[in-house]
Amino acid sequence: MKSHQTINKQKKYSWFSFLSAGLVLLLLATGYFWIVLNETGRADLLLFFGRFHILLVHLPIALLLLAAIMEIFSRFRSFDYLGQSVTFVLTLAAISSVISVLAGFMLSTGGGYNESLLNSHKWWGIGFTVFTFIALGFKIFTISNLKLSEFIYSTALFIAVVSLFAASHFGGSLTHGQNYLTAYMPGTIKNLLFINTDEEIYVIDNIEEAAIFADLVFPIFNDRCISCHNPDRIEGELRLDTFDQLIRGGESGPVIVSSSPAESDLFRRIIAPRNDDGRMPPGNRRPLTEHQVAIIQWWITEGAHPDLLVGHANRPPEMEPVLARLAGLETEQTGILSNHVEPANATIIAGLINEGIVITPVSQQHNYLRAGFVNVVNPDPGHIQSLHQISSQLAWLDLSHTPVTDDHLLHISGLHSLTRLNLNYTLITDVGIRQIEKLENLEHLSLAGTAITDAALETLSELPNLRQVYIWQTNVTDDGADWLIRKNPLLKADRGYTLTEPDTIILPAEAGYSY
Amino acid sequence: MSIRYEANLKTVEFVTRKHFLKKCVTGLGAMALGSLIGGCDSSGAIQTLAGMSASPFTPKPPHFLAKAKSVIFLHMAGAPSQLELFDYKPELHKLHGQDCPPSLLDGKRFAFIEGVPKMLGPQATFKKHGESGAIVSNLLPHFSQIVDDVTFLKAVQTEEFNHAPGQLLMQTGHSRPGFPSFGSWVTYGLGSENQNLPGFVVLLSGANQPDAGRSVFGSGFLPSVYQGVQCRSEGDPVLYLSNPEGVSRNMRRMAIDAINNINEQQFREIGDPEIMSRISQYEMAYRMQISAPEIMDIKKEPESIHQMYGTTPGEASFANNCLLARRLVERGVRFVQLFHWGWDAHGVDKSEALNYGFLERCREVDKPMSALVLDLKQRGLLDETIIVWGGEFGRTPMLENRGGTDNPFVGRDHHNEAFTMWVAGGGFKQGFSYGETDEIGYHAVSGKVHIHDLQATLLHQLGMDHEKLTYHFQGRDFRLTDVHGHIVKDILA
Repeated sequence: MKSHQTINKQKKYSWFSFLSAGLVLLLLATGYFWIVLNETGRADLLLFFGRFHILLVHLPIALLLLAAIMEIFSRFRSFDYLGQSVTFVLTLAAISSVISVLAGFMLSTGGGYNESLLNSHKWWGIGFTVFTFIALGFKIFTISNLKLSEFIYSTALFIAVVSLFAASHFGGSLTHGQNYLTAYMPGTIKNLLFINTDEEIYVIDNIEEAAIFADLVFPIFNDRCISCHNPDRIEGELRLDTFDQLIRGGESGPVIVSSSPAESDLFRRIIAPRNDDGRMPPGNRRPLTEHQVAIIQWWITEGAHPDLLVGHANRPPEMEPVLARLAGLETEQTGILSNHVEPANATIIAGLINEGIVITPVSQQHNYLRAGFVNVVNPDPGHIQSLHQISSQLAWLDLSHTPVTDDHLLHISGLHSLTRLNLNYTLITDVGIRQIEKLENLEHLSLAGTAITDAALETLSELPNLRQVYIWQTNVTDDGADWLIRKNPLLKADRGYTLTEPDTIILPAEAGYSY
Repeated sequence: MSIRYEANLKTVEFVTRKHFLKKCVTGLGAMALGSLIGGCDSSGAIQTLAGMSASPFTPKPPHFLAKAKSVIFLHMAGAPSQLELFDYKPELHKLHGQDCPPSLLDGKRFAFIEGVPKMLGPQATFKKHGESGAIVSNLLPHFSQIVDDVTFLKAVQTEEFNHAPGQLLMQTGHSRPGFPSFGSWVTYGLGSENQNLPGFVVLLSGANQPDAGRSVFGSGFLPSVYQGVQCRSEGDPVLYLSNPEGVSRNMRRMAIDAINNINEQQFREIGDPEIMSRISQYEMAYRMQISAPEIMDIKKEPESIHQMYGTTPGEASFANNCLLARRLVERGVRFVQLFHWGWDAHGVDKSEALNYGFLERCREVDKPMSALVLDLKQRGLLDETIIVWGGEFGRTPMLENRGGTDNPFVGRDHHNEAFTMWVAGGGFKQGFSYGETDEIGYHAVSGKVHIHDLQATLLHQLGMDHEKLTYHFQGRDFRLTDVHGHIVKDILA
């Protein structure tokens, strides 16, 4: 047995030395290659190899995950044969990760990436490689304490997997943009994860007094261009860190032609198609957003002036939404309306409209709908049931002043997207109210002039998002309303108002001074 | 019969319809081409959902998510004095009776003041009210109780200092007649939910009609269906709404059917969409014969509501109109425009004096307008309804001296540089005051709001971009705010 172990160990040694020697050679070759390329002015070749990073990077991801999964499954008897292959897969992961990291370094010489994101990606990636090697080392060699080496091995493997997720996430953010993952995430999940989706929006308090260049245009350069066009690193001999440098231009002359975006090289480059050589930011970097392009175009059209104010410039109508966004004027959306929903079927809507139901989108920017029954003389329960066809889109429903009863409300629980429901002056009672307990998104409920009593409040207290309820002219008691507010302190219950008659009435010629 | 006459007759007989067509072959072609390439676009500016009927009042989605869906505009025709109601100037007390310094008069034009007038101190006493500490005079004891629901605009500005142009500027965005009114623009942009009532209803009270006449609620160059429909709180709610004596509802139905048949035939031949909107207007009028009397009947309101508003069914009063405005908005009418006439307190006679008629006006509006705000609030309608209150301009800190001599009563002249308005509901801040005037209330010092800014802001709260709500007329796009208007962000909640 002993001799067998020794042979095995020798095999391991020779294999590991072979691997290490290979990787050291690879590092040396890369270093040499790098220096030569830089000195001979063929830095573009670095980028050529660098671009394989995007491709290669998927190998260590898959291989390490595979190694980890095999390791876990090998603990079960029916899969124990997997244990013998873990080392092999892990070795491949380690080799491919080194190559990926090298390619990544080459790619980063192209510049133009968000610095802090790039740093996070780089260090998590390096961490990943390091811990993969540690895991591999402790997998192959066991130090005197078998349990300890086993523990170090699993810990290193675990850390490598965590680093893998982090590095991939930051890498994804570099190429796809920072809110790629969260853009279509439902609001509730965002809130759970404390994700602030407004992180890229900055608000200018007094937009009319803002300078177009300093406050609107320069922040874009600062964010997206300056990492390659700064005093330390002057790509294309162009610097974008000051106004004067920008006007001075780059190796092919001025990049801004006052009043003419079409003739300005800078503008032509930011709108060039993705496969165009001259496009900026180059390669597979995120292009400037539509709003950013619009701001730069507007600034050039208005004469590319260093201190022209927004309020003094001509404003084409297409700038208004851009400026509104910068001014923080965009109507903020909360709750369900901030989620994306597919448009409702037009034929279904047409059918409902023919029934006399008023249906409109809540705005031209939304697929959510509002429905009203003001033109339906005598709505029957089937009308409410027919709204189930648009239940994902229907956010606001107004049934006020119609003879709607508890029978109608039997169908209301399916309208799960409702945020506003108006049941003022309908014939509903406490029985029907129970149906609304499933309307989790309900924020605003009007029950004025109905026959509900304190018995309905239990249901109301359980609606998680309810913020405002109107119970004026109902049989709800003061005690009941107080109980409701105690149960849900975020809720406001409106019980009606009165005006106090004044003590004195001001009669003509008695008021204050007279002449 | 002279031979010349006979020759003329022969010529006229000779020129037949065919000649007309032959001669106009190019002319008619050009006309047809004009309509083919869409020269007269009378369709709504905002796209409707597929399958919607072609009624001009079909509800349309706003440009962006709206805070409010309807408007009640309380226009105090004649321009109430801000210095007796909201804009308290203790300094003016001290200057009371002194000659106006020339610095205030140099280069200024007034409607009536001549020479050197005297300064006039506040003709009321003021106190802070509510949690917001808003200063309101003793002339509005009910309104003082609702200041925490209101945003005051203390430095509103206008160009006009005469009533008719001032009212036109406030209601149409232009000081000349011929432009669509605010309510017309809003119903053109958003349609209206209730298809049995007009989308834009006008209610008048006070001894006179608005000085600028019906232009202040006209549709200008917009299709005429968007003009304000005046309803009344005494007699027929809408003039000529009842069938004439001897005409039954059945007969009326048959008549409308016959007219519709002819119109439909015409539509099949010509295809002008205006014909369809005419048909829908006939149908609307027919439906209104049932719906309007029902909705305009305030007798059904409970006694507590009548007490709250101070209403007496059957009379033409501002109070009744306030209650009607609530009933209309509640049933899906988009825009309700109230005018209450009689605020022009120059001091030339009793009815137009700060110490007589003005006090009457205050009592007429104080309770109902306060009740309106609270009543909408307790129904959950205030956050989706905008209430706007104000005159077409303000009044001077000087005592009016028409013709250089003292008036028999106390009054102030027209003043356009700073006056107070208030807005409530519809996503505006509550218990807030925006803008300041100098120590005598003459100039705006900060937070100036021009009429066009107010209009832009109100449209914004209705979900519309005031620069996109346009209508092409005589070769260019027109808007309510013409080429002006900035949204007053600071007053938005």
